[in-house]
Amino acid sequence: MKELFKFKTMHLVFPTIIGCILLILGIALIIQRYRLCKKQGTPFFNFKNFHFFEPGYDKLKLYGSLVLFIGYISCLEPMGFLWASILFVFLFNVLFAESINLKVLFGKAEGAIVNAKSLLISVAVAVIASTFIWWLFGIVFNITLP
Amino acid sequence: MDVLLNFGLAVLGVVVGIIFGAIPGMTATMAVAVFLPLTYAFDLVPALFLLLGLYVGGISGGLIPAILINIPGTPSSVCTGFDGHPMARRGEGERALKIGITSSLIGGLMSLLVLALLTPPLARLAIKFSAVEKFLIILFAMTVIAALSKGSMTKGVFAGFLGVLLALIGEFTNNNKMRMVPDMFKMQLRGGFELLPVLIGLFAIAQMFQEAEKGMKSTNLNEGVDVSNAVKFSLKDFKGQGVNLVRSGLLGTLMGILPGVGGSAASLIAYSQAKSWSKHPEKLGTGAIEGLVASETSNNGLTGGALVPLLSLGIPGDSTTAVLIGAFMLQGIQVGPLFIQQNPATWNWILLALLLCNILMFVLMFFPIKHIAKIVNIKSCRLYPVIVLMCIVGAYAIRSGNMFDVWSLLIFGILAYVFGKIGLPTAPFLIGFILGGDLEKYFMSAMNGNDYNLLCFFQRPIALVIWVLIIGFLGYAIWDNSKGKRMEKAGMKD
Repeated sequence: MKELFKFKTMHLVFPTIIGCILLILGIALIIQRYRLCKKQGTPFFNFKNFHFFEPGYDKLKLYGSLVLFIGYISCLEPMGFLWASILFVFLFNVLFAESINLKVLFGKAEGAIVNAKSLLISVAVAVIASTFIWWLFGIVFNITLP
Repeated sequence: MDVLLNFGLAVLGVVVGIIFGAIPGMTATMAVAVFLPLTYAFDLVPALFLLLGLYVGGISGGLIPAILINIPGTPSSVCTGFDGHPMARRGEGERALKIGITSSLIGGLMSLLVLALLTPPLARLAIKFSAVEKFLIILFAMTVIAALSKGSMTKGVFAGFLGVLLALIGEFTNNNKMRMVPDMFKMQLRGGFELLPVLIGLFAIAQMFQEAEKGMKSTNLNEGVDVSNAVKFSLKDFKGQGVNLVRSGLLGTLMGILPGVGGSAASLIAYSQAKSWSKHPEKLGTGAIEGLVASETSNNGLTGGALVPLLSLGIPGDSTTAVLIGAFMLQGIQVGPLFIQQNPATWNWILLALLLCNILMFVLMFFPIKHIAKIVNIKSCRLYPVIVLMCIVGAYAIRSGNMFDVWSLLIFGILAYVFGKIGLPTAPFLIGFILGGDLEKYFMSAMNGNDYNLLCFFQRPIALVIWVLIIGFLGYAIWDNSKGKRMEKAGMKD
């Protein structure tokens, strides 16, 4: 047993134990699924009926939020916290509150492209929230911001 | 001045918590996680007033949409709507809300009493623990998580150990060697993943993706029912509810003490017990006060209960208290058996803060309930962008400006989103992540101090008691699992 705890390799002992436990649990999960599928008479890999996303999920908002999040993080340092925040909080608002109806914009639906009132609220939320948080954290609390 | 600051932060916490609780899709855990960065600027005591306010407010706010539009604001209000909503539909909305709020106060105060009485002796016992017992007690916590992950026991344990594995990433301090770190991230991951971005990612960003997937649909009170007042609330409504109140409050507190068990389990168990003991079980689900009282007393009973293992053993009782660990870590304070002994003033402040937050929750919800109820109309699509902003600030500032932590936020947000899709629970994962480092430390220390003999884990009397508890819980889990399957089979036959 002592051999396992040699100074050079002792950092690997516990991760190896946890790795083994995870492997056993993983096998147990596979067996459980196999037994369940056998009982129900369904295939083990049921790709046809497997839906990762909810039926009719909002692709635009889901992927859009991911793209905006990545864009926001990427722009934080080059643009600075305040300007990047104003821009991206506005874009998040436009996306989530549908201030600009992208489906209409791309000709996939009919109606008004821009909801003026919603767009105005988006601008207000972006400017007020970003400036307030920048002021509160950066100026009042002196917390490091990007 | 300090007293005013503490009071002001408690009010802010409770109000914001109620808003988070009342908007479906937002939770108390999310409120605490998002507001954690605000505590960077404060000492531990004012920070605790804010965070406990968010916790109590967040748990309590969930009853508003549950009663008015039959959508629980938080998972802990899952059973509140069963009877609260039928009451609202027959014109007793205000009465139902006030019964729920009063029950929440009673549950919160009961759990506070249990917290005050149970934590110090448990901590005194835990001081006697050696590395062996400390290791086993964490193992016990992981077993409890497994035992109570109903229907998905293996997935619960798997998620817990996955959390442990991720907590081991980085440098091992005994020999200064790195493990599980790609060369390109050697600098950033020397100390592993920071806790704060991990928990904000798990509870705020993942939630945002889930809501985005559903289209960020807002709830609207106008589509539900009004806060009508056909039958007025009176304290007489609680006549004959004494046993129900005590039973549900204690069940909620007990559920809180058990690690990894959330408010939804507390609400469900208390509700089913209320039904079992009721003289008219057929009336539950049709607008009976009993059901409403059971659900709301138990979920607020959880608050104090979840703090018991946190402050006596260093093990969080639920996901929100796991986030609270972040606040203690930010202040450089280790929660565990020595916490009360070394920080008696802070311990007293915690009790006072919890008492104040419960009273504030009652005052701020009970009297202006007609106006407070309008919170459910707040559009989450306007709040999420601001939440993203606060998450970024929190993740970036934790190590005084590190972009890697902001990327970690996104990584763990996506991870938790995928967990939700494949049915892996997030709470055991987080608890495993928080306790993983200690689990290894105590294991290595126990082995080192006992000449690398594995039998050391079976030789001390306290260790044997913990083993009995571990085996007992495992036995219960297996029995409960097979009972569930038998009932499922019987149900299918019927």
